[in-house]
Amino acid sequence: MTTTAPNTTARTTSRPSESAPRGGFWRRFAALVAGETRILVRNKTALFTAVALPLFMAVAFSGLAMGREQLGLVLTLVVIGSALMFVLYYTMVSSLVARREQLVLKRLYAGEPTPLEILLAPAVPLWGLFVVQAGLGIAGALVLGTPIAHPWALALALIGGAAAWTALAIWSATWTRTLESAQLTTMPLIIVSMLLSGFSLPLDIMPALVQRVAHWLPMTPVIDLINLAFLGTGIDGTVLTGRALLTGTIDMLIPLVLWTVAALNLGLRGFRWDARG
Amino acid sequence: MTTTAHASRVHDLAHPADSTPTDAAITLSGVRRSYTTASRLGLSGRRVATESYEAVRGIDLTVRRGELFALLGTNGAGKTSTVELIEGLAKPSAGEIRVLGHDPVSERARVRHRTGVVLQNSGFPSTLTVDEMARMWHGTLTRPLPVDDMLAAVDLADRATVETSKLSGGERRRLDVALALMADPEVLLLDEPTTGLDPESRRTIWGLITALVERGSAVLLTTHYLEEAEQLADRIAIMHEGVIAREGTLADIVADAPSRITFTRPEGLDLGALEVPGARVDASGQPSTGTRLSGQRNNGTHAGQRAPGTVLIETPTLQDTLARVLAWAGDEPLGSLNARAASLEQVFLAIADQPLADDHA
Repeated sequence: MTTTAPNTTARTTSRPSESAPRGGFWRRFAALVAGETRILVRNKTALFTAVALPLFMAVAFSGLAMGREQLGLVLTLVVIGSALMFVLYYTMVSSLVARREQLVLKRLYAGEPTPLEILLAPAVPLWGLFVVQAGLGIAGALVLGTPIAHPWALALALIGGAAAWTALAIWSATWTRTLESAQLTTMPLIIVSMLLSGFSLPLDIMPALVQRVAHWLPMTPVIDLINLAFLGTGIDGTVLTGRALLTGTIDMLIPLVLWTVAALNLGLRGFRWDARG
Repeated sequence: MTTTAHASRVHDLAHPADSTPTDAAITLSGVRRSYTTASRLGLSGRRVATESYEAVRGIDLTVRRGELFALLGTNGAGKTSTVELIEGLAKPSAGEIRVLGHDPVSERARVRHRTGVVLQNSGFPSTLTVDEMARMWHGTLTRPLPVDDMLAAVDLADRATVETSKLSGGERRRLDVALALMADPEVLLLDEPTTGLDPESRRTIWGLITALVERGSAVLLTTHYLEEAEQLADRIAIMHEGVIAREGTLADIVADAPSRITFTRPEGLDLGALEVPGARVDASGQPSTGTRLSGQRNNGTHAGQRAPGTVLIETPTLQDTLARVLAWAGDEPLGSLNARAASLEQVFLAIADQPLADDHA
């Protein structure tokens, strides 16, 4: 081993002292996303959960006795809903907590990446996985011959759902201390979402008050948007046209926007970068 | 630097007002840091501290460009807590910090691309290889040096395809340093950069750090190795219980400390007849602060106890006192005669052995 300095000396004179960083976001973010993608692909457990769970749910629900067209809708609901909860939300909370335990987040936070870049980078490969699975669900519905009234509402469901559940993952990671406890801390939101979104139980068997509250939860609007996409119906089950279609859609988007903004804010403000203390 | 009796307590000399703004790369004034040890949920939804522990208790510090500053202290003295504040990982509970003229927390975007950091723990994702980690880090930097050059500089080029989790402690540390230097930083903050390194790797790291200082960067490092501070540092601060107990150049720090003469008390000589003005003679043979052997840094226990019958003389004027001791002994042989000037270790241990101000230990 030598004690000579490396080529660092070559740059001695050219160091600009006060130059602002120039357009570094995409370069930094791309580097982080590439690293996170590698880490995810090598984490067999996380990858298996992410790939298998929505498919398992789809298979489980496909045995239900119903017409082909309705089955297509239910399959899409189940695949998108479970992909949001298990692929995006749960896997991302686990990723963030694991990175914090390994002190990777602390290292990155001490470096140049901004907090938002650090926290969103693990979401990107999961978004990719989510889109692929949602695509499979929708393709299945098309194969089964389910008509789609408003395809754009599906896009809104995917984008709004991904945004809200990514933000929720960041927020949940603020109070999840260890990787083991991630299974517990993510449960409340997942269970409430499964019960009160029309995902597993029809929402209209619930009392009116519960129904009204349910539409403000982060999963219900996603299910509503998918119903709107396939059936053209609003929250109350009537077919929406014209002006009612516009306001009905906005009503579904508002809760998702609010969840995204609120959870991201709380997450960024309360985030602990260090495993200690 | 002056070596007159009291001026050498360099606290005053190193005051921030002393240095011009362009000269100072890091300044801390009145910096404190408290940790919440217990809290309850407040009405506003935020946690309210009900119990806290103050790890940093009012620190003033300046590190200039082209200077290597070593922060020493026992475990729990507040070194890492202080460095983390300079790194911008946390806000001080009181006081002000400037790195290159900016607040490292609220103005992080203006500071981060000009600083390099080696944290106490590496923080490598376990499944990435050395090369993948280095390239990911490279991608996050504004003005990065080439990955291959940096890995070669710390002798990790042939370990590039190994997963970081399979690296030895020393290799992890070398990768840490390589990543910190990759940013070509104007300010380099190193928290125990050479812990766990073999002597050869340590010398490599020293060479890299020294080269950066020579190019005008400011370096702040914490270390447990006193000889590291002695060899590398332009200035040294010794922290104890969250405050800086002593600060200055090596010469400044040891200037106040007495030199020591020890020998085994000869049977035939009367110690009462020994006249050594200004010196303190201790013939009790009891263990005393700072007599530990070099390299032993265990806290609170005394390893190098003096055998019964050993005489310790502490003196500000070593040559004069030694001459008097030798004249006093005459032809009588003095067993285990040892005379040495004050050392950093002696000062460090004297500070470390000071009783705790409160009973938090």
